[in-house]
Amino acid sequence: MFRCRITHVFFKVLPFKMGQDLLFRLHIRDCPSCQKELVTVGEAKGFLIKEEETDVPENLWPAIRTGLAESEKKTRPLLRPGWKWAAVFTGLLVVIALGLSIFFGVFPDRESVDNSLVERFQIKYIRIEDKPATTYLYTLNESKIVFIWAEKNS
Amino acid sequence: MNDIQLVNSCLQGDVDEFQKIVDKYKGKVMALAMNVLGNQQDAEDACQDTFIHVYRRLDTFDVSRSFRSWMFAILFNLCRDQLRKRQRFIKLFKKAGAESPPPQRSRASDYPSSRCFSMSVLKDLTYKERASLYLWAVEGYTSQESGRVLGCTAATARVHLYKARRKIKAILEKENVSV
Repeated sequence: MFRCRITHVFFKVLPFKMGQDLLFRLHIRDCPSCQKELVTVGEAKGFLIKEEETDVPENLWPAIRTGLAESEKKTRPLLRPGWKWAAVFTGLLVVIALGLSIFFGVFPDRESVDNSLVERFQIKYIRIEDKPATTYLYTLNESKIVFIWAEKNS
Repeated sequence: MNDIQLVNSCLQGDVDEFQKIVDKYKGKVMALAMNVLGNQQDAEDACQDTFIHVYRRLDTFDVSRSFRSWMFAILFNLCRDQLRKRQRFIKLFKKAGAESPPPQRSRASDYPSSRCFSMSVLKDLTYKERASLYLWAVEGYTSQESGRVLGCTAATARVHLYKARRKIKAILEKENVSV
């Protein structure tokens, strides 16, 4: 009896199910005194609702059928499996094309930019208030920066 | 036709064949749901949802396992979700400062009068204890099988069952009732 009491105290104190199970297997399972404190299968059955006591709704199958049809609608894929791969492939191509165009658009080749600027940089004349202005160009050594100074003719 | 044959014919796309599975197991599913949830309305919802889930996941069923246990595991998870929802609702209701308790879905007429005492006793157990008790006493499950349904180890299932059996015995002795 003393051993039973100790076991029950430890059972309550132990926080882990593994430890509680160990106590159950070491003592409670084989102890006739502890077994008396547990309901038998027959007693437990008396408390539980059994299959034959349940009230299964008559419209269960129609309700399930409707539920299945609704869930099928929700989960039906937009594309057939064959088309899915085509859509994925096309999507990838579009992403790659967009990526390339963005990359080369935002970060164009430095040399090609310089060349295009050189080709386009051309001053024929500068006019201020519809009169030709005196123009000075300043360039710094070893630099591609060009300063343009235009002065109104008096 | 055994379960595996029924499952295979369902997997070939015959929804009507699934009706045989429903007819075969609806009583068992309803009984477990009633014992875990404790009221007719919630048990009906869980029962219906279980069969819909089972049909949709038939392709994931491992034929080396028991179909009944697999189905019970789905049901138990749905029941647990429903109980959590109920708990959240009750907490929200209490937070809102409502004086009257939230409306109960279970009615006295849900059970025969002889059932009322049993149901009140079962309410003292946790839902895991109720499930493990049902699986052991009615379905004859071992702790290993119960563990698979409850989603825990056999050791944990054994502890749940032990606690359930002990609690009920204590209530019986206190009330001096014999079943």
